[in-house]
Amino acid sequence: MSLCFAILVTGQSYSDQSSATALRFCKAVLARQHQIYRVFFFNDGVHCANSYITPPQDEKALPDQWQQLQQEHELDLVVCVSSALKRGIIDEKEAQRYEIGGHNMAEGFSIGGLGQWVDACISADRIIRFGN
Amino acid sequence: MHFLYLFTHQAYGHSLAREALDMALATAAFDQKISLVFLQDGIYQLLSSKDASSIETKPHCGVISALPLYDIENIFYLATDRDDRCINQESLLAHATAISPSDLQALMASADRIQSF
Amino acid sequence: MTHLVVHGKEIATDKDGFLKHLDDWSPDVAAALAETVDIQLTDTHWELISLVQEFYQKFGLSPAMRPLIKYAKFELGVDKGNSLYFLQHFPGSPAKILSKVAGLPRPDNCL
Repeated sequence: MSLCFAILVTGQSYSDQSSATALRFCKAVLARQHQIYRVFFFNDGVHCANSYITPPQDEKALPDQWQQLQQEHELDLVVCVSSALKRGIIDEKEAQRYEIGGHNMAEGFSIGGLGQWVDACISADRIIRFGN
Repeated sequence: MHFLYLFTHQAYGHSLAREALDMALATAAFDQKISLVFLQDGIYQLLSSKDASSIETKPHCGVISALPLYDIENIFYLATDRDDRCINQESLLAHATAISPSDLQALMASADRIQSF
Repeated sequence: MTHLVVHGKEIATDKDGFLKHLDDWSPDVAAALAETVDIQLTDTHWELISLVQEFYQKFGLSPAMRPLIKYAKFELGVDKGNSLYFLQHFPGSPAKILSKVAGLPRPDNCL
């Protein structure tokens, strides 16, 4: 039986293992032919979408890995707008709206509202949160 | 669909307490049935004392008081959590109701979506 | 940067016309903010502006439409506590425009 998952990421990348676990969970789910309705990045989870993340060469950049998975499976990676703005994760459109001189949201992610998480909860068979 | 949210963080230590409430408000906007249970230290979110100015923060009880306006009426805590923390019934917001562990079990059994923060 | 001019003073707003600094709010600034959306403020407009400010004082939230109407029904009665009445005064999205004119933070995009 194939299941459809909604994934909520609330853990800060690098400080906290949970967002890396979320990524591995998503890979495992997809490898077993299940589906992912949406991954929603909320609270400290929005840091996963920061394209300025620069780990040492012997560590993998998590945003790059999310991006790669997004491209391979056309995943819907949505970053909560109000969590993101407070934490300085800004896409081009929000940068224009707030007249900020740059934007740092990684490609493959999109900015959205909590309604998209509620929609995911209603539509998916299972909801799982990664974070403390 | 019946959404059950379990909140275990106290009001001011981590932003998750406040942002998870925003999630409940957003869920209410989608006309879903919602129940909130403030568990363990989460019960501190229900204190009605209003002043958070000494930590330069908006009082958490503001948004808690607004819940009924957002059509969130099922607001619960465990009587045992209250008693363990020596909290007076009178210092909790009036629209929250004490329940027992078996009530909580029944609530969890009846919910379609359970999330804890 | 976008701004309004009220009594010769520049008042900074964001691109959607919300005040950048909430302390800049005054009744004259409210009138100027209302003018940007073609609204002339009357006594009944002011009653709703006070109501939404009171909502913010009490709950620390810029209200969405539904809680605002519920609150208005409670405070002002059913004749005024309905969306038609709000739409007549602040056409388009009343909750959003009221938050702007009353000098509240812009409503959360999520809600």
